[in-house]
Amino acid sequence: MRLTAPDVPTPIRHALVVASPHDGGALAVGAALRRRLGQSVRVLSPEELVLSPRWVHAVSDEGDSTETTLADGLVLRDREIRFVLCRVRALSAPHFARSLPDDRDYAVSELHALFLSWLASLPCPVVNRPHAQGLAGRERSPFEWLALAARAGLRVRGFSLTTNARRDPCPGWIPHGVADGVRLWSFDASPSLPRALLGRSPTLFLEPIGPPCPRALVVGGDVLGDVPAHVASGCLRLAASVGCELLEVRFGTGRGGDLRVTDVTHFPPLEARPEADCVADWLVSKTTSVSEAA
Amino acid sequence: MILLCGIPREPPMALAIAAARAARLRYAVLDQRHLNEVELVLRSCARGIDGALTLGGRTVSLDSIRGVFARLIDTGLFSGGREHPGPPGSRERARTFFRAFTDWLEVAPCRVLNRVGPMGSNASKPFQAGLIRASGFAIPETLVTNQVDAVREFARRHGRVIFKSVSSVRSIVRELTPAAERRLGTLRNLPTQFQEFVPGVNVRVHVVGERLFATEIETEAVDYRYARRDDLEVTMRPIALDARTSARCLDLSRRLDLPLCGIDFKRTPDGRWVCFEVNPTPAYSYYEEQSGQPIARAVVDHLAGRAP
Repeated sequence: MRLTAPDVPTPIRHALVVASPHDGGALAVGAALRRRLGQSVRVLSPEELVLSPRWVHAVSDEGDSTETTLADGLVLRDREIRFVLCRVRALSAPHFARSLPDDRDYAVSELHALFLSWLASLPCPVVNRPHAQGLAGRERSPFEWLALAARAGLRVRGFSLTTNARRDPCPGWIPHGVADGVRLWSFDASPSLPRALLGRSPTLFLEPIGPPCPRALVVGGDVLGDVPAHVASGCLRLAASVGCELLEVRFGTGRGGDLRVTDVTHFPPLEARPEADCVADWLVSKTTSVSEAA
Repeated sequence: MILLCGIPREPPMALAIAAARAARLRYAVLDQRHLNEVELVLRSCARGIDGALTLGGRTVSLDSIRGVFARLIDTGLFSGGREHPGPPGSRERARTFFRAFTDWLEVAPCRVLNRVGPMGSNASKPFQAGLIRASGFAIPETLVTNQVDAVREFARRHGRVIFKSVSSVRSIVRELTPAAERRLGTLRNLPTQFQEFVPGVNVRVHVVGERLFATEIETEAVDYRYARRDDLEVTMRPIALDARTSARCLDLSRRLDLPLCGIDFKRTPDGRWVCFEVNPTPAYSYYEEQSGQPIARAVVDHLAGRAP
């Protein structure tokens, strides 16, 4: 079932930024895109899409096609979308707010499944590419990020996570709580603890490290930030290994003054105007070259 | 050493433990009901992460683990944490272990059946269908919509239509009957997945590394997994796959990064193989017990790096 005949050219109209209204970085990129592309840029909240009065998403041997009509009447057809900058980590189902928790969770799962399929099926660039474990790229724990950064040839901040601090005390390193075992999005999020209180508690020990250094922002094949060339190359290798075109790598300084990766995120803040401008330029050039090639 | 992680009495895990014992493999069982009694340390290293696991008083380096069969259930799903009795802090330690261990599995250099990340493709059936299609298999024509008119048009074109969840939650297949059609008004609240009904014989293919086990299922039920609930019979028998279908199954397993998976097909009367979905945590024991296929043995052989 196709909603648009494949041999009929359709104008590419919409540049979409899908993000929470509280995502300052997404709004900054949206504003930068408007300066370049005018009114074709739409910044949509996930709720606007979730509450769309019309969703028709078809999947078959011949391919996929989707038509979505927003509450304001705007029709989004997949072949008319120029690109999507997706900054959505999770969806909510506001129209199920009064439902039983199980029903609400089910609705969110269903909407997530539809969103993922829609984003993955779009023929235009979607940044970052959706993954089964994340609408805007695969979510990873800080352990995974640091392990992958090390494999990409970057030096990383030393860490040791133990289920029993008495058994593995890690002298000289700074103990942090592990938030009742809940997955940490960032090591920075865990508070440091006095050693006297540790006992047998699960504890994350972090290598002492110097103050934060300039960040490296991977945008496509470029790296923004004042980092040495070999570090920039490592950041690009890391981004390529995880399939993220937008990635931020944060550093501290080790004892020898070398840069150590302390954190990685595929949700860079992007609030600074130069970064937002750079991302906007890259998105526009990326899709210009796609259009020309087509 | 191979590590078998989960609940030992759960049938697929019980079969794997028995197979490891019968094969005289070095193995350890990590019983999820007693995670608070296990110790784990993960450390950064130049290769990524190393560390050690202490189980039953014995400590092993994570580097010495050749393979992990992970049938772990999120500790948050345990009923009130009753499975973690013990001194204060036991639940905290169990949760930390669970998170840290599953994080390690994501980047562990050993064989893992399966890592959590790749298992997510099954959480969106139309998303997974796109990946299935890329492996060369036919997929059923599918519509996800909140539009009654679109469903009626879809049903008119296909005659028989089934509906099921878009995600893996509450995933029970039902036929769109006239009674169900009368409830289509509720669609506007939540887009729902509809599929053409594909006639034919159900086939489940289990992929274990490079090995394939194909099982034909005979039943009158729309969803054979729930046939007995509807008082319908199910019979299973092993079948051989042709070379092209075998190659595509292996390609699909690699594409999804699921070295252990259960692929659901219908073989249509005109000989097509239509693929419905790929289950990343297959309850293979159900098929092994009825068909006699040695799937659990293949699981432990794969983990130990033994050739088929």
